[in-house]
Amino acid sequence: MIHNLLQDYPALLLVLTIIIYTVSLYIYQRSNKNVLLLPVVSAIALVISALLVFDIDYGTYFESVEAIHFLLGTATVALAVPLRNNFHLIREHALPLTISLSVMAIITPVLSVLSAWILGADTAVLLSLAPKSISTPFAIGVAEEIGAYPPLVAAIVIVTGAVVAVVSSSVFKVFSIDNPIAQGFSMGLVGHGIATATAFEMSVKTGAFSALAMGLMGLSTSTLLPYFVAWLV
Amino acid sequence: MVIDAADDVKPTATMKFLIYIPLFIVFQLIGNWLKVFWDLPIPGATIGMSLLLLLLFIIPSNKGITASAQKLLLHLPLFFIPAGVGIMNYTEVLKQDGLALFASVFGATILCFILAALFTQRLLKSEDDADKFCESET
Repeated sequence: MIHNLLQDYPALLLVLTIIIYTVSLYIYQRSNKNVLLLPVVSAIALVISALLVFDIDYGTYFESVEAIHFLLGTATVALAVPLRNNFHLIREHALPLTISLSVMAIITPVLSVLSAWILGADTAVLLSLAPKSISTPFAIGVAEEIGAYPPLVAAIVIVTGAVVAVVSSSVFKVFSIDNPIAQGFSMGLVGHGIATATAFEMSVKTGAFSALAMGLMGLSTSTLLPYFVAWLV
Repeated sequence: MVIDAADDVKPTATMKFLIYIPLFIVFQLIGNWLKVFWDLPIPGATIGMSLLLLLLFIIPSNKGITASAQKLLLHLPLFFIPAGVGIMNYTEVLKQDGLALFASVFGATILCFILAALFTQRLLKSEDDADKFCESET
């Protein structure tokens, strides 16, 4: 019966999505921000479970919630604002940060693709791994351009960010990374928004540099990667 | 009257938040349009973001825009859901290339992160040393 109801009134899927998102946020806050319960991860898992239980296919679901997907683009545009407000930070250390950004913008996608290529992954999967260190909205945009699988890219990007968030403090301890600028910048470069949230919990300075790195990495990779892939293929 | 007359004159925080959302959408649409017009391979939202970034460097103050963007970006995870749920159609890919995906998402990510942290710290240190050297020279 619920299956028919959701089929006949697709707006209910929109309602369902927002309710599930709110519940996920609540669970995350109650769990003292446990990284395994990140709202994106649990919300996606819960929506998939609901769709499977009520037997709704992804096509029907996506059509019903296309307005939310449109706002992803709007939010991407809004990322210009934190980038602008953090931009003064780069002026103080312009040379080291620019070099670090340029080198990592090349190394990160190359190593990500190479490691999967050695293990014989499919071409579309390899392309889906290339944008894995940039913020999800950019990554999904890039995925659509280069012929990768956008949903797979979204999943890969989210897990990548969570990995960086989880290992960051151990890595800083083991490799004695004690400069908050280096800490924040590397977290933003490789772990985008999810690691940036963790960086802000370390200190405001760490978080600001992480946000800066994430914005610069998203802007440069989403601009250059499509050209690079077109040149390669 | 329950509604205070002052509310009509002074825009509340909520109204200020809403005022700038159309601005972001306009830049998004301009970005999408330029992408089609010049046949660019870059995502339309990235073009829109670059244009907004230029505008933000020109205007002297952006308090209202900042508050609005913060409110919107607070719920960024919600906007990922429609795309993310699509993973339900890729169980075959996950099964087939699971090991390669795991190696890249865990192995390559941690390796890149260590490289980025070490490299950035090294560069910052050499910049510091160069500064000190210049100071001692003068």
